[in-house]
Amino acid sequence: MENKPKICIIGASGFVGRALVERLINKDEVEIKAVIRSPGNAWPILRHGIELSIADVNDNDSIEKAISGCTHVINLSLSPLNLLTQGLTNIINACKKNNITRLVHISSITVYGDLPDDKSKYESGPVLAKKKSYGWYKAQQDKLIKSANENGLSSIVLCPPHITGAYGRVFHSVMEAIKNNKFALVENGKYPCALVDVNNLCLAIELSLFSEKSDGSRIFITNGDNYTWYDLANQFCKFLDKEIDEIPRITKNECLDMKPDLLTVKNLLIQVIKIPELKNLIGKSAIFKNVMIKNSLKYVNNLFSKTKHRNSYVKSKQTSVDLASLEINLCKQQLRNVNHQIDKAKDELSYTPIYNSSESVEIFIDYYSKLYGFNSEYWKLIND
Amino acid sequence: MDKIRIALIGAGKIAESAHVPSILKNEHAELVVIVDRSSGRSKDLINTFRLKTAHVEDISQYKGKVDAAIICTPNDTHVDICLQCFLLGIHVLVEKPLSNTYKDALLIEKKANEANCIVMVGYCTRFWPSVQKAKHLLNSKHLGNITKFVFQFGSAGGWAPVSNYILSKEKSGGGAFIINGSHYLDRMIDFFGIPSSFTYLDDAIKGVEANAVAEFIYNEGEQNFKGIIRASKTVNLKSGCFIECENGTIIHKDWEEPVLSIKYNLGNEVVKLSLDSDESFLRKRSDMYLLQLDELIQKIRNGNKDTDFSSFKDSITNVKMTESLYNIKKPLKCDWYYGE
Repeated sequence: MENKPKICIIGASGFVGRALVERLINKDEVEIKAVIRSPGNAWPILRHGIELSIADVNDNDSIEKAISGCTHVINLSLSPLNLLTQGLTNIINACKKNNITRLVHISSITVYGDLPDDKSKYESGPVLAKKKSYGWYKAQQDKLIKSANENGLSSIVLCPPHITGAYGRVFHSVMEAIKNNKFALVENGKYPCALVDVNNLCLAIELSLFSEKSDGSRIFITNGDNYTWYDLANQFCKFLDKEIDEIPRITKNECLDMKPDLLTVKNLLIQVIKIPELKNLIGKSAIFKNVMIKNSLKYVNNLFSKTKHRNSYVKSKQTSVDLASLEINLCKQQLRNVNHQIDKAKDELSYTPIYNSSESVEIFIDYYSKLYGFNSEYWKLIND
Repeated sequence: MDKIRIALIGAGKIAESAHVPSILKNEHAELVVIVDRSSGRSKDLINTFRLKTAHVEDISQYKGKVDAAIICTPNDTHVDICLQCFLLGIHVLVEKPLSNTYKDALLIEKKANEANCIVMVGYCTRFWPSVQKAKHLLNSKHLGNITKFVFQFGSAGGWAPVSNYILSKEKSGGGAFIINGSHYLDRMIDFFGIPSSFTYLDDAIKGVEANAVAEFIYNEGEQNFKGIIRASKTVNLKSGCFIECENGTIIHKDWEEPVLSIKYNLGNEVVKLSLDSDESFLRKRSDMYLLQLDELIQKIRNGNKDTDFSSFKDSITNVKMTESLYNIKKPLKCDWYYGE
């Protein structure tokens, strides 16, 4: 076929990127160009033997070169927070220079904040992400895309919740927390657990490439079901041969009150090390190239990374749950009591999810069994 | 005694993180020259370590001026560089794997013998004293006969060589099984010898594997057990050697902090015993690259013999077995993506 669309996938080795490569690689109608930042993470797609381009979105020349010759661009890149907007600006500029037909960008429901307003059931809900948080930076990116669209670069922004399926990080976290008795259900897990299987997201991306309408504003992409945190915990409990009744329960107020430890010198150091600008500076500085200093920093970092954030609360008044033992993030996420609707995705992209949330968990379980050897005859030897 | 004069061929990541520091720490060795096609990389190393070392693009310029070369270039180049070194009378320590094919491994062996040169292959994990201790425990049947084993390593990505050679199957020769599994294959050969039979699964389609599992059966003589080597470049696995025996399990946790421990089965009770209290064992445990270099120097000074620590024959067997595994490969089906 002549004039085949050539799709540039920036961030092709990431969680979504690899799934998208798997989806598009055998499609005759399109050609793909997989762009990665470093070969270290390229393994999931190296198995296909496809040619990879190495480019850094923060390097104008390399990203322009990567996009050159393509007709469509999908941005799945990840950068340190402070570089997110600059990286996207570079991509937009490179798209304009190369007369790209469509840019597809991935946003996040975190733009609506940790405690989203009821109105964020729909895309027009208020952006409540705290300044300088991940959600806030993603919202800044969305503004850039909106503006680019208004200025002639046809763009679509997909807005997913937790992305799940094989390799899904949130599933790993939930499973490990359940295994290690660090998971609790907030209000009996009745709140919606907003998920999108990576296959569903990839379908939405593919539809976005060729959809007629593009207004440059967010479109929710979820599994489109009413899955709850209870459903999720229940499914993992069955997998782990654990009773759902063993999972501790806490109230919404207890969850709201959960806070990290008071400031200590150790925590302060952890926070300082995490400052993106500093991390970047250390990484680039000549001093870091000194092996001894490098190893010392690595040691300090390892030491701190083993220190978990603790709760200042010890026991829940209502339920006698040891709150300090719980993973705060997994509790707090359950407070996002909004079921994001996918009406816009259905209307504008003709999106219909392939998998529901329960099926996404099943896919994860299959992946976990195959790659970790879960429940194989050797599992007990490694994990006892 | 004169220092052994060393050339470092390949100024990539492993040179920087392992070999240069070990040469600098070794009082019997001297880094004479860095050989790399990219003078930029050589200069980087020289600046980073504040070396007064020369850098050239071709080792032949140093004929008669070096005793040994450490070869840490892309896998497909090992054979040619080894042969070039032998012609110049230079002993070699080659990063693993020795070569991408068994045929090349045999050629290296032949030419090394003709030139009377020593070849060591960088299976550095053998040099962990904890690994040696594990081997002694197995040989002495401290826990009785072996019943099962799992050797595994898995990381979500990581290790991006400067030359990006892993992007090419021709250059790397393979994926996760070569890069990480190879160390465990070496330990398996070292601990148990050659297996009676084996099977192999990996997820490669047209490129290199990101995930691989090989199962080995030992059922000759007194041996009657089986085990697996699992290697992944996409998931984090508990890395190390887990060897189940009749009376307990030997556990060697690898890499960041190599630690050997034994879990005894006493009736229904399980008692964990750490060997960390053994001071002689603790003394040198983190210096595997230094110990590896010591071994090379010993071999050069005392003659070319396989020792407890290293075996050139085992390295050739490793290449042969890897080739055999790839030849009987079955797909590890990773069909989690719609449309695969």
